[in-house]
Amino acid sequence: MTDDQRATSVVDRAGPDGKPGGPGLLQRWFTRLLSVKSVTLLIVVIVIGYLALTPILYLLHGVFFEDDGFTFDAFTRAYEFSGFGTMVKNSLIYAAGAAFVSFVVGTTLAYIAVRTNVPFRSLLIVAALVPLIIPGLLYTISWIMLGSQNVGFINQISKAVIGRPIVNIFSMAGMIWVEAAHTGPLVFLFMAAAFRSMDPALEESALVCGASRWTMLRRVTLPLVRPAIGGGMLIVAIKALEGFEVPALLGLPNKIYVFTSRIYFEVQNFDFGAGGALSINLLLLSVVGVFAVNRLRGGEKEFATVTGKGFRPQRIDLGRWRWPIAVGVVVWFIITAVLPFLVMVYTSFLPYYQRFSFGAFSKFSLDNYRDLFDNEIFLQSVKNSLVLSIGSATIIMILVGLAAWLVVRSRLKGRNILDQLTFLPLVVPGLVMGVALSYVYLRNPLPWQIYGSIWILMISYVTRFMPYGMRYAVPALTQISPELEEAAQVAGASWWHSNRRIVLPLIMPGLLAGWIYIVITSIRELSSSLLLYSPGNEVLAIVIWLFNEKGELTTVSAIGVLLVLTLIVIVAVAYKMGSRIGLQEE
Amino acid sequence: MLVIENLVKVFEGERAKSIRARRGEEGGRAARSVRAVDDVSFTVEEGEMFTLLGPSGCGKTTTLRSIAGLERPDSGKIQVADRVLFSGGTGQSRVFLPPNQRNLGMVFQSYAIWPHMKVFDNVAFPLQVMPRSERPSREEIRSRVMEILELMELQDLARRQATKLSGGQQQRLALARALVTKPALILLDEPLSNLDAKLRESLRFELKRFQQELGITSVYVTHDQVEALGLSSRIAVMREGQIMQIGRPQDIYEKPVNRFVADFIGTSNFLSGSVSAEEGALVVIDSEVGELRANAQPGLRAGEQVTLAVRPEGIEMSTAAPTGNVPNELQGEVITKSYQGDAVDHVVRIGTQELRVRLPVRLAIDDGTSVTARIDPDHLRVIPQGD
Repeated sequence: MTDDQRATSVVDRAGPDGKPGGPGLLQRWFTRLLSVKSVTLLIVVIVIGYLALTPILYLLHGVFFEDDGFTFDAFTRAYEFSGFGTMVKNSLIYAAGAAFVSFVVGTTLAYIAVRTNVPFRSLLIVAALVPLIIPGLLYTISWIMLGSQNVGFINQISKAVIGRPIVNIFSMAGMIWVEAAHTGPLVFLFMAAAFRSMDPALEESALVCGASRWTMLRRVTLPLVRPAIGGGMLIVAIKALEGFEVPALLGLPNKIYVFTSRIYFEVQNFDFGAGGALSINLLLLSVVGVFAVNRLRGGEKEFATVTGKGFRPQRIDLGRWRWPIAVGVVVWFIITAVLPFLVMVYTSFLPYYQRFSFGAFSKFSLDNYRDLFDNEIFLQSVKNSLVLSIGSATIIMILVGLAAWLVVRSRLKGRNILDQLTFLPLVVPGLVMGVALSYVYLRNPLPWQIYGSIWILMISYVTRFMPYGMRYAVPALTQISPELEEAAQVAGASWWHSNRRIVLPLIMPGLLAGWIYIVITSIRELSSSLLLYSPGNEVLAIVIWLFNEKGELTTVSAIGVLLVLTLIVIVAVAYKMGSRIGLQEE
Repeated sequence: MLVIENLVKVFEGERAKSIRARRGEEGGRAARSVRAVDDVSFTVEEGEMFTLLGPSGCGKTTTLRSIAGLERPDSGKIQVADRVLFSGGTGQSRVFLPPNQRNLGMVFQSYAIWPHMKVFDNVAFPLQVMPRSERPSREEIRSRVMEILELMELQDLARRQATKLSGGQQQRLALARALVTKPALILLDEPLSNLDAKLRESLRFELKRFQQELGITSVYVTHDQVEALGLSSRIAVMREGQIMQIGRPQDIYEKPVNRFVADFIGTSNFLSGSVSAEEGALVVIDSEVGELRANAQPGLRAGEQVTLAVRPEGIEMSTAAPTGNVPNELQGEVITKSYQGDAVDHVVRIGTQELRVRLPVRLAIDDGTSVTARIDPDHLRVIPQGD
């Protein structure tokens, strides 16, 4: 124990501290290296390094080195097909369009929710977040049921009223719409935080200076939140660029390719090289985007904007616009959240998928749900999804909890590199991660068989969602004054004691929030799973995908309804717990 | 009791930058290292309240944290009683005890009260984490914690969540936690700086009372001279990593050894001049406001350039004409004055110079009045230039 303690203090460095040549140096170096603390931390660094680096290295190697050594063949094959230029153009239009629409909607809703006296404000905040809970795959399928030309619910109404369909969901506009409606809440969250952390005195002083409300909004409010706006739009654009569900389900039927759907197409045709080459292109785009986001936000850390003082903003009186705006908000909510869910509920009760009619109500039954519980593949996928999401969330939070400690608290040289390694997977789109991991585990650097087992999915989830875990763990630790830890040390506590009794209990709420977030996210993961699953190892998202391919929309809807309800319960419980331990602000 | 010898701590990179910024240095972007603690030595006797006083970036906190083991100094020696806590030699003589083996008590600037624990658990923690062989029984921990809580008048709050305490109570809780293991030495890092002025004053007296009653040896860090003068047995005034002067509060205030100390502690008027002659026990100085006489001190040579320091309350002033038979009578005019509650500060122009003069309220003199100011040679401090 003494040796262990000798090596423990906040200020020590990992290496030997003496000048070379002292007697017993080697021995001290060893005792220090073999302490519980050093061994634990070393393992963390190795695991994170392995997870973050292998996919990218193997991907690069696999694409550039084919059968006869170094080559650009894969790129040539990837660029060869006639629609390449159109595909790039499509990708950019799609990403920019989705970013713009979701920005306008999300920012407006956030300002209304945080800064005005619109009625049902708290309901608005909850409502704005609902689309975020519905997995992208299900949300897209719902919109197919709402907006396809022939049987879409919305078009049925429009045909009845004006005699022709008004929307075609299988189009670029449809893709942008669905993506924007789905990611709008993300922009909402960010902008609400920005508006909330803004000192209202800044706006008030503009008014006192004689500015009108509109001038104030234009000259003070918007410029103040500009970093958040820029960052928010870019993040949505990157997310759209990397997104797979929407372009695959809405674009492929009419051969509207974007990067992700094209990669999927290539891999489906067993050209891993071309898929990999496109993956590298997409990866580069995404790296540039993420880099730009960080530049835009400057040195200002993301959490610094949300943990500001608890300002109580003076809400703007909307006057006679109060109710019209409220109605607008409710209509938006019905279109983006209620309708997609209702159409899913409706379909889940039908014996077979059909147009909307009141006659159909008489055929309603619970058969779809009943069948699900007799379906071996479905039951197995539920089990797999639970094991994978809970398992990956737990592994991630343990890993990043320790990594965050190293990054925030230790003065270890190279801790910044560890930080960046943890965030590296963020730039790898899900589908690219799938391609890259196939490369890794078809060649398999590990002594166990990973490919074709459920473990490849576990590795994929842990790698992909590690950055999210870090996002929760680092602020949780930064919020604790280092003095709390130092006080424990001066009081005589060892590294182990001060972690167990002081640090861990204090960061637990943050770690738990991250854990829940990862559970929710990984249950919905589709893009990498689709390339990595093998029969018997299906997860829920895969089962939904497969049923949809077979056109069994009634079964898809039944699974969807159950999944969404479960997620709502988890989120509600997390939210309640969050407010109990003081995580949430509102 | 506590012996510190030639302590040096060098900061590099970000930390050096932040120190340079706090010292107001024009550091630029160059990655220069900074000697945050630069050859500091002092000794603290048993039962003393020893204060490290100085402006931001002077190295006082780094010195304190080095004693605690929260910083690892580059060289020097730290010893408590006959235990070496740190020694910067090479090879076997090199010692660095981690903080958890130093058996010290420390009160942090933020108090560092663990927010997830009850008051009782905060105080019990240092006892609970003792090595198994020394750890008191559960019963004894209980009684020792309650004993110290009673002393701090916190016994009724033992079951309360620690964050639910007022500022003053939190301060006493932090003190209780630092004292519960009966450490040989406790370290206090600006423990009053987070409180409002009124509370700070009452806690200053309370702290002094605890310190005297318990006879604790302590090292106290502050940038507040009033606190330092009121609390300490001895004070070390620090600047840019070095100790400028060590002495009893009265010595420091009345006999500052250099311009920095005179300026930092209290308010001083500074005049420059040169030594012209000695007159028995007095020395005559040719200053900007005419000839002044101060108490002679060893080492002053005729012709030497000096700085004269005099406190605003060290100057007497009246509307009467000069008598001519006491030294240091100066004629001038009151420019403006400011009411301080317990006194009135006057700005008086004498020749080309302006002096600050503090008088009791009942002796205040109107603006524009011609006055005679008189400085007792005892109150005039001669500081050789170059210091």
